[in-house]
Amino acid sequence: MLLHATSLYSATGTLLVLLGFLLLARYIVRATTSPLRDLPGPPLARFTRLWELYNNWQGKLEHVMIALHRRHGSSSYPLRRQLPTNTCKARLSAWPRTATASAIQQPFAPSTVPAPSSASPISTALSARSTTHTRTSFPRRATQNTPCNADRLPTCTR
Amino acid sequence: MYSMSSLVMYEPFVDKVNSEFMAAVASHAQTKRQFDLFTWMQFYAFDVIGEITIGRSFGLIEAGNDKNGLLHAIHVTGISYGSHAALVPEIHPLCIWLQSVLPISSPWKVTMGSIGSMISERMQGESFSDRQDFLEKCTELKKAGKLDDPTMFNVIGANIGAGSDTTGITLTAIIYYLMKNPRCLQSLRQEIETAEQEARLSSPSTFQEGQKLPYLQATIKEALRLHPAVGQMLARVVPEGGAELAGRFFPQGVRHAITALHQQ
Repeated sequence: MLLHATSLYSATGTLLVLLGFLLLARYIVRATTSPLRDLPGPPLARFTRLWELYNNWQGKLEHVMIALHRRHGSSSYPLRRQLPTNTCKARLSAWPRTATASAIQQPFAPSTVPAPSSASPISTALSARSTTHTRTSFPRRATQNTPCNADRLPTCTR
Repeated sequence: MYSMSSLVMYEPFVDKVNSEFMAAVASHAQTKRQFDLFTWMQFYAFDVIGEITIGRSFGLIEAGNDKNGLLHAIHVTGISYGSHAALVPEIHPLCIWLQSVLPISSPWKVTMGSIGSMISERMQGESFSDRQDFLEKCTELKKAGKLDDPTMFNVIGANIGAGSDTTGITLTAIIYYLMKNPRCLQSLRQEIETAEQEARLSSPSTFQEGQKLPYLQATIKEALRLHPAVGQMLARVVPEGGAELAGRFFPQGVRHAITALHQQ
């Protein structure tokens, strides 16, 4: 009777450990075969969001981010990958200064996804969007010295 | 509701808080008392939010301290808790449930309680306002059946909970960078003085007049660039079918964000 209970107990234990290993293996396989695995960034961030949580807890996330951008940010490619696939773009210059909040909030709405183009897909996407937002025009730098008019301010700046 | 044309209508109320704030700062200067600029900027921003959201100032500048502890509660829920929970949103329902069933005092209870009572007082006609504040607009929409309770709570809650920190941080950053860069401070003063001499500024100056001062606008934007009030990224999910961004394909479901911290 005692023997029977012990073997049942150990069988359950083995099963649980096996299940744990399988889950862990699946997790690692998914992390290492992610289509975004080539993006540079801290190794730990590949596997867990706790990396970001830890740095935030330390109150230095912004310094970490700026340092990462300095290190990897020479290209306009995303540089931080994280599961479940969280990426961060380094360069903002591709983004038009005068985009309205709604254009920024939904830059990836299906209608805005451009055909692949070598120039600058993001500005293409936003230009496409500008047909529905009559106020938006997207010169990259031209607006810098133009005083903003009230209508052009994003409606939600937070 | 957040359109610029409707926000500009609140200008007189903001002017009132402006003069209160300037008086408070002047009194500090006269008595040579040190003060924490951010704290006072937050008092200012919170009083302004009160004026435009519930039709009256919270009176923090007048009191000189966070008299009801509401500002502190918002700081804890919004900044200390919110910035962490936003990274692991799965735990949020659990935290909210725990604090509601446990017999503890929680900043959530303070914040939610205050917002709830502001709304119910107005709905039941116990408090009135001399202006078309946010609460009044929401109440009208609610009575017309165009707004449900949670949305109304979110609108008022977002104003009160998120409106003061961001404004306080940005205003402080503007002053900080001006102090750090005397050359820029000099240029800004010159622009304002010239505008005053040419009678392009009234007293108090209006939003429209401020818009026509390019150096002032550049100063504000530069401070926002160097010290964005929201430091964390606001992620967007790539829609079905994936998307190509900056020459790279991203599969659907990827959370993608651009940081506001760009200092290159």
